[in-house]
Amino acid sequence: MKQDKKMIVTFLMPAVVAFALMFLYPVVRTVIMSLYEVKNVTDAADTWTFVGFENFITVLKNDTFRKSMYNIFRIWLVGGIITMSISLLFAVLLTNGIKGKGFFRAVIYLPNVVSAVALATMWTQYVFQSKYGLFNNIIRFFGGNAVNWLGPDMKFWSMLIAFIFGAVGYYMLIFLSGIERIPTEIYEAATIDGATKGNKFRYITLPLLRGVFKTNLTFWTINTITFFVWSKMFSPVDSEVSTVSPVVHMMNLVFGGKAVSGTFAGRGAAVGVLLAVCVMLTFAIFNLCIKDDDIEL
Amino acid sequence: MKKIIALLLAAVMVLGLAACGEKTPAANETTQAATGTDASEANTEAPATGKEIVYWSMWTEGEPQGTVIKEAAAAYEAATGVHVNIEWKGRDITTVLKAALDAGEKIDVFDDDFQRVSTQFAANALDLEEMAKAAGYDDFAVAALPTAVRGWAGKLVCIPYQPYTSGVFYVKSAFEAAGITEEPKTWDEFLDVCQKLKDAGYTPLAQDDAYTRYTFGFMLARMIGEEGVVELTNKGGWSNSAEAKQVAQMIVDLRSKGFLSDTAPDAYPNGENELGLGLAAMVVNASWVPGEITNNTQCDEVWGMFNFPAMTDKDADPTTVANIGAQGLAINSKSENPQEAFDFIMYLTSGEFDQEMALASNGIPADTRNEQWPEMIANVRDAFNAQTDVYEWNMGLNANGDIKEGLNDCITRLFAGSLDADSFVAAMDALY
Repeated sequence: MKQDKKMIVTFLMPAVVAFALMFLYPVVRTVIMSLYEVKNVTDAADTWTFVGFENFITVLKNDTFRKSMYNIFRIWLVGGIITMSISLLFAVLLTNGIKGKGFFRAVIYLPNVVSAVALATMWTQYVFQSKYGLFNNIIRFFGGNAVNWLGPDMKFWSMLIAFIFGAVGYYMLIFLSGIERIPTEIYEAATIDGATKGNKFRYITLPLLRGVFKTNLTFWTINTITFFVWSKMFSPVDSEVSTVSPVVHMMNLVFGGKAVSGTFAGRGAAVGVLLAVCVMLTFAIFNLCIKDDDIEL
Repeated sequence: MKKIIALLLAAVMVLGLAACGEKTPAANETTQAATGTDASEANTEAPATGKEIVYWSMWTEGEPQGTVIKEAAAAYEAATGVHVNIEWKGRDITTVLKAALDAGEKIDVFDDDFQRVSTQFAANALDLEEMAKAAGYDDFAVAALPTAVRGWAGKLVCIPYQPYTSGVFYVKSAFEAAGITEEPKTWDEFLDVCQKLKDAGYTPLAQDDAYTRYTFGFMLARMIGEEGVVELTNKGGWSNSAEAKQVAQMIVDLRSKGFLSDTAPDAYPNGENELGLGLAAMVVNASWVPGEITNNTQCDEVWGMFNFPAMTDKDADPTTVANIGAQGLAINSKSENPQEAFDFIMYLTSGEFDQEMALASNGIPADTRNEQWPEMIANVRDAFNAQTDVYEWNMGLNANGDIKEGLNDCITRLFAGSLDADSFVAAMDALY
């Protein structure tokens, strides 16, 4: 038994050391750095100046940070509701004996295979293009007025549409696997009892997908908090209020933006810590509000 | 038995870790051998010295600049026997360079935007004054560029190359179709040109959202100078600035007269692409824009360029002031081969290879002795040579990092027609 413990320690050691070096150390350093005035990430610790919570106050007072938080809140809430609804709808449709299930599943998942950079380029330079873009051509065909999809008032929503398009397939697959795990006997019994399709969805599918919902919401939250590529692709030259996300703002603080206006690694670390707190709070709320499945499938 | 299995597993794990640690050639490393130059051929010209300089490049291997850099490195090795190991970092070099330099990574030469090198990376860069003096660098450099470097860093910390200048770029065929024979020098003349272009069926001025500050900055800096723009940006008081309000009104007028596209400001690069598609005639941008538009739209337009016009007869700056920039090649202060590194930089930024890079990338030569300019920007030459002073990127509007995005949003909304001149200056002041 004693030898087994040694074995466990021996085999765990590399992973523990790697975890401590590559994950724990940066996290601890970032938290400490957020309390200091630090210019560059790599500045030696003896050049740091302790400022307490000043970095947090500066960041929270910063208009761009507040707007970036508002942006990801809207992405999380509005985008989350739409993405989860469409994903669930597709998952339910595809598990209802539809013909060509494999084909449709592949088509809906396809945007996840294509690089987000290529997808975003397609949206900004073709679909949303104001003069010859797909959407405006359709609108004009039906006699409507062209919309400036990438103008300052619409850019955020256009970015959200594109992001949802790329995300639906991923969440649909998770819902699909959840629905397929539900034993068919339950549905058969419900059918014999005279349940309609709506009733089966409301009283069988939805309650038994609680755990899957929690998983999807967790992934969605992480994807939203780390929202970066789409923001950069919709504002490729410099960050803009309508598309900026906290991670982009953090990058600008730590590495400087398009124009040189100094680097503020301490403030960037404060943004990182605030985002981590947001993630932890969100997960705590999920755990409190969404109980795991009662039934072992 | 268990012990034997445990030992075997441990051995496999150790071997696996050892294999991970073994040095393998990085995928993005290009050595001279990879350029196709025959080593024995190189040896016939200069014996190998065993020295190697490592160059972290801001370009990618497939770009025209990358191709020329590879050729220059091969030629440099053939001539000197010093091997140049190029690591293609691309534009992400901005985020990885500082950490690598501070961590003591073996880097001899690196490059990035010359302002960033002269400010953020200046502490890691070698003072090149002595070597530059010995090479007679200032005799053939574009004078404004090393002057700017010395202004930021207090000394020459990088050798600028791939310079660019800025102004109003236009499609010559559109001007011809509109019967315009003279390039405008004042704002009134510019408006006349816009009217003629509009009458000929063109959108006179294309405007991308990424460059609204650029156009606005040009207009305001002409009137109050870059220092005035910096002061306004840092301290506010836009409502009290008659010039700021006047510029805002001029943009409102551009829109109301139909001199901007209905959808302006367009998402970059949709606006500038309109020039290549034959829809628009002019764009305020930098000298890379003809190449960029030609590449995006595959057009075969002939390009013209004029200095950004004078706004009023009381302007603070003449029309010969423009945003001029470049990339900057620097030497790591910890480099063990600084002279070889400097020689390589000279190899790349002067003479044959500077000329080749300018032609390959449709850029401006950094060596004033190189007479040949790419056909696409041949018309930029007179304006570039006449320039007397330099604006920074966005002409001072980036001075206040805390409100940069908010300020950009207000200016973009002004161009979009969502704000009039009064509400614009009020919105700007509300940012403070």
